[in-house]
Amino acid sequence: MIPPEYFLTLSAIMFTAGLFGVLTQRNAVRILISVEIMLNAANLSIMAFNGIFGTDNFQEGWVMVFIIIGIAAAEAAIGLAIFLSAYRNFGEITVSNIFSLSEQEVL
Amino acid sequence: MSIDYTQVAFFITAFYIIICMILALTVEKVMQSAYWLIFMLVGVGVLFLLANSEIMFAFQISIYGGGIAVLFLFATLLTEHDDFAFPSSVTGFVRATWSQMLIFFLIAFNLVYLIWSSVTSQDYLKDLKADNLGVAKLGDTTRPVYTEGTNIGAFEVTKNYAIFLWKNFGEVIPFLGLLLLAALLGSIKLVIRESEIENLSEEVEARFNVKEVRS
Repeated sequence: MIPPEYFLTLSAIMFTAGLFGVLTQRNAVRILISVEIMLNAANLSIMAFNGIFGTDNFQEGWVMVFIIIGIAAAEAAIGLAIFLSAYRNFGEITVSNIFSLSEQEVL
Repeated sequence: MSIDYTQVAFFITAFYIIICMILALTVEKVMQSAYWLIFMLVGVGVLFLLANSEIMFAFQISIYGGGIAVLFLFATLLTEHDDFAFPSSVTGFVRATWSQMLIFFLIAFNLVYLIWSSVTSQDYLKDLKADNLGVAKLGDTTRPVYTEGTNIGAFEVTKNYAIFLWKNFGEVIPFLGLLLLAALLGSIKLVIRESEIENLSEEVEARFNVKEVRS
């Protein structure tokens, strides 16, 4: 048997590492990679809590993980499409360099 | 003292995940970063398997290890990158990101405090000893594949999960389907090129009997 706190500790390590990546990286793809790491950390902790509170017939934690995985797929698709569009318009996807988006005139 | 092999497997997998995660965040090339992310996602799937949720392992491998991985690889291939994760000097890095680092340390300390206080609280320790909770489901190696008498098997748990999902959360799958459809259409709208008139070669003109095409 694996104690749930092992899962929670690993989840906290993954979440903080992903957070560090989101806050410090400049490349948009790297930021999205860090967000995926944070989402997986959340999934792991939900799985641990499902181990504590779930039973063989009621696995609400698995339903939550299912929803998170589906939303993460949609988020990755939209995010990468936005990056492709930004790359086509600006020639790069370094986040700190495409802030000129906010300075353009609204048509 | 006997060794609990599920814990050994957990520690090996956790070590693998942490190594892959650090490499994904620090490796120089973005393409290699995406590769290490995929390896890390597979490791998380193995942890789901250790938590006795085989169906989530299948979802993780097929959606994260398959779909999202391909998205990342193609997006990395279609764009150019500077290929550096961190600036060369530490002082310059700290000076550029001190406010983000402050937020990071605040949230990290908060998280560590929350987990530590909840894990060491008397309520949690009392809950762990209660028999009616499903604690043994994390790393339970005694569970059979098929149900044997009162010992519920893995197939039956997966079947129960499917019934539970459809009966109690029947809106989830149509909702996710609509969300993914909207994401698909939105992505196509975002990346589709502006229409330009393109002249065709003589062979194509003769074959399809058209002069020009709008791409």
